[in-house]
Amino acid sequence: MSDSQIGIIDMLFQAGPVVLFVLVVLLLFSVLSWAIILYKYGSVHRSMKESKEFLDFFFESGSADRIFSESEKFRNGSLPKVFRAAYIENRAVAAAPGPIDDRLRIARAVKREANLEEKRLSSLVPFLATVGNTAPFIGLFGTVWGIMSAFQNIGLVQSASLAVVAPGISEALVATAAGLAAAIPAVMAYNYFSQQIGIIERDLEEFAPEFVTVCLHNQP
Amino acid sequence: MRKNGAPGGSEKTFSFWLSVAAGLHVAVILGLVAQQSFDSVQNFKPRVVSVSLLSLPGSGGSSEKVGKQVPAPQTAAAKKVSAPAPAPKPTAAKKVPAEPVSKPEPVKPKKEDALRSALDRLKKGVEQKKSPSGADNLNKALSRLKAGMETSASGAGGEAAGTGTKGAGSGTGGSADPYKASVAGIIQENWEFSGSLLRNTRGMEVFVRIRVQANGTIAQIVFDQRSPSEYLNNSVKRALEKSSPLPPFPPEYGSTQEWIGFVFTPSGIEQ
Repeated sequence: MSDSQIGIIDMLFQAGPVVLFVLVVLLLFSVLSWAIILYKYGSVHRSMKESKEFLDFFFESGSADRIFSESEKFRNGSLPKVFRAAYIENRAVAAAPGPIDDRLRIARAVKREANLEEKRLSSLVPFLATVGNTAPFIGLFGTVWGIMSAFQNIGLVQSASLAVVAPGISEALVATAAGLAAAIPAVMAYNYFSQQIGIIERDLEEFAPEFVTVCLHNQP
Repeated sequence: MRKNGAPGGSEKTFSFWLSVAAGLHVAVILGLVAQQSFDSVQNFKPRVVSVSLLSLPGSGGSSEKVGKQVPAPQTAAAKKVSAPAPAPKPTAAKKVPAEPVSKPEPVKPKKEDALRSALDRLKKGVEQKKSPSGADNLNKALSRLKAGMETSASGAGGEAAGTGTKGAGSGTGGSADPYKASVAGIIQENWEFSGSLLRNTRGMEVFVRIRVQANGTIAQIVFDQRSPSEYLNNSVKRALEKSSPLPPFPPEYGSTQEWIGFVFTPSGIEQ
């Protein structure tokens, strides 16, 4: 078997404990990143889709009661959730009027629900940024450590031929490759989710006053 | 209404996606392992000629008398010819190159075949002898050959007799041969190798043969089997090149050149 046939797995078996630890950490980062990517993709995609469908119905129908009953179909959308919060607060205001202005109470309820949605949507996403930023450095650390060990061994054998130098460096570079493999999807996903969540947040800010107005006009 | 933003009923939980991601990673790693195994199985065509097979008939030593012609009767196709014809020379007995150490050459399986065919011809030829005691002679010759091997294990290569002619015996007793032991010692001294560079010693064996001329010059180095580590392979090559010239043959050898086989492992050299 020639050296070209020695694969990554053989290199892992020959790696030192520090490099192995680095690789395990990067593997965990990668697993968590991909779990977050898959989870958040489903969540954000559903939220976007249902918000869009809800908005279509919202502009078609003028009745807050109908919109509220229809919003029950969009349980994962952010905008339907905020509208339901506004509607329920409007009902509460009507049932028990207080000293505070009705519009202000409903606006507060909408703001509260919008904040909750923003938190829910952006949860776990910062971990992707953390992985994207730190994984290459962790991999680089493993590489530097591996190269240090390789040079120590080269010193022991007192030979600097390519056959002696190359295997150690090649083994150490696996850590950098693993770091990049973990970081690249994480960074790409982070940018995608940031953009999508930003769109939803802007929608929430834009349509929250509209919801308040519709609910107030619908007061019995 | 869900105030905490919990996912809806159709939404899969994070633990589900976590297990999916873990499964994906396991699949990728298994794929890498499978690909590596597949590649190694597909491409691994060892050019293995066991060094011990080159010894005749001893198994400890791995040398052959390449300087001598192996007398053997001709095959059945040439029955009419009474005089035994010399067997074709082993390919190892080709012209000795002028340079002290030549580049490793791939092992040609013809050498082994030639030796085997020579042996077969020898046996057939002896059986076809007109003398009624031909079979007895063969047995006697073989027994003498074996006895010579055992007795000359500490000495030089014996010339085993085969039906009254010079046989093809090598008979050097491997590491018991003081000359070969000294050669192994010299190579061991010149071998610069650190096992700490090889954390995985699985399959780390180098089967190598050298053709030594009577004056001790290493004329040829043949890697019968390389190890997966080029570092080990190169260290073996450097050690052999550094060891040339070896001490000249002892006078009892009588041959012009010898093949000596070694097995290099991270734990040392075996003959």
